[in-house]
Amino acid sequence: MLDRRLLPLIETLTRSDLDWLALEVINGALAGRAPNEPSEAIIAARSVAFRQKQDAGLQEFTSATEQPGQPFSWQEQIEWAVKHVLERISQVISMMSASAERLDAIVEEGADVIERPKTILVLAEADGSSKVSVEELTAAAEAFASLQGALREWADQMRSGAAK
Amino acid sequence: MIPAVATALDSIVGNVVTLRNAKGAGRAYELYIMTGIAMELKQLGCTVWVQRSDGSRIAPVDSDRRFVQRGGVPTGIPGAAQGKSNGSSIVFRMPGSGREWEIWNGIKFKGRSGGDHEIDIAIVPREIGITLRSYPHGGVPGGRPRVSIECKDVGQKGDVDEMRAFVARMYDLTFLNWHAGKIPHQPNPPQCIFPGAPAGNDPYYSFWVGNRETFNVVARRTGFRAGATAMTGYYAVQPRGPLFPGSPEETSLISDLSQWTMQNLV
Repeated sequence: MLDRRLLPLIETLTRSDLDWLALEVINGALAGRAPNEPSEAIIAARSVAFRQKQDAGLQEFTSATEQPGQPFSWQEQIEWAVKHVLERISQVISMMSASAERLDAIVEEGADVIERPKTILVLAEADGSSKVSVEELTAAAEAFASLQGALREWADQMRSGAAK
Repeated sequence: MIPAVATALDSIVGNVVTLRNAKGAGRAYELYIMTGIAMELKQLGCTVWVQRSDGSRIAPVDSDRRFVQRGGVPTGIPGAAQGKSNGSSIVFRMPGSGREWEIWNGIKFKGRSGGDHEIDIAIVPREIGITLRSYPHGGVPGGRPRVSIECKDVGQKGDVDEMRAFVARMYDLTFLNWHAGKIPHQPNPPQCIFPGAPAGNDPYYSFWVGNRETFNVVARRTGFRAGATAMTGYYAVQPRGPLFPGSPEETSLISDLSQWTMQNLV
């Protein structure tokens, strides 16, 4: 069951046009902790040596069996949601920044250009395009600290006893 | 509502408008992996450049330095005549042989059933791209890319059904020798990827062989649930995750794929 203390966060995300993130918060909080595939199974599954042994019938696959997730406690839902929102947004900003830098490095190889434009990342939809520049990514990264502070303060308030 | 959180989010989303798009985060993930591969190939000696949808190369002095990802319903490769505002791609030339390959993002491929399958990141012979762009309205490539990466930037860990879906997609995209003359949209003589494939793109002997002659990945930001990788070894699908910026899985994917490329796409 969803901790209703999450509702203001979900509403805030939706109000900021982050419906997809609001949905992830709901789904993730309800899903709880899913058991991981062991890292050795993941590494083995992609190894050529393992595949060759398996093809020759010398080795069976060692994947874990499917198991249900463990539900989060109420407080864990809040903590997980805050961590998830922060991770998601910071990763998108850092991935887009890194991509723009890499594209610039690819385009500019060996070029002797003093005044040059920078890569603009465009996501083109049928009803319009969203464009993001390196400067905008830098501004978003700077604003991220405010988000961190605001979310942690809210989580502290919830932890210190707001009713479920 | 939480006012302080709303203010901070508005500032971030106001700058990175892509975040408003339900698929924006996922497309950022694909581009991050795609550019990581391109940079590593450049480090290994390939000549790498960025290409607009009309086939023109982006030069350092160009005022138009947009890298375009197409959102919405996936499409094939647009024709050069349709302009340069469609999806961009990355091209690399192998040292030595001079063979050229294109790295595509979010392009659909036609399978033997006639059904279309979107591949998040695909590496294909450049001749395929040149041929498709030469058509007035572009076209949908058929067959199987040499590299296929399914990127999953979702909140939850991947399960075995996700693997089943990827294996089925690859199965439909694998054209075999004995399909010659049996599939209406397959060229004659049959090829493993088309149209415009250069020499050496004969269809695969079997699905098993096709899996092993290509590099196939499911890359996941959040990793895999227990049991998710059960089908991967046999079908030569490489599970990679949790893969996020700075993770060991990111390093190993980029490194392994680049090494494979240097050895196999000569």
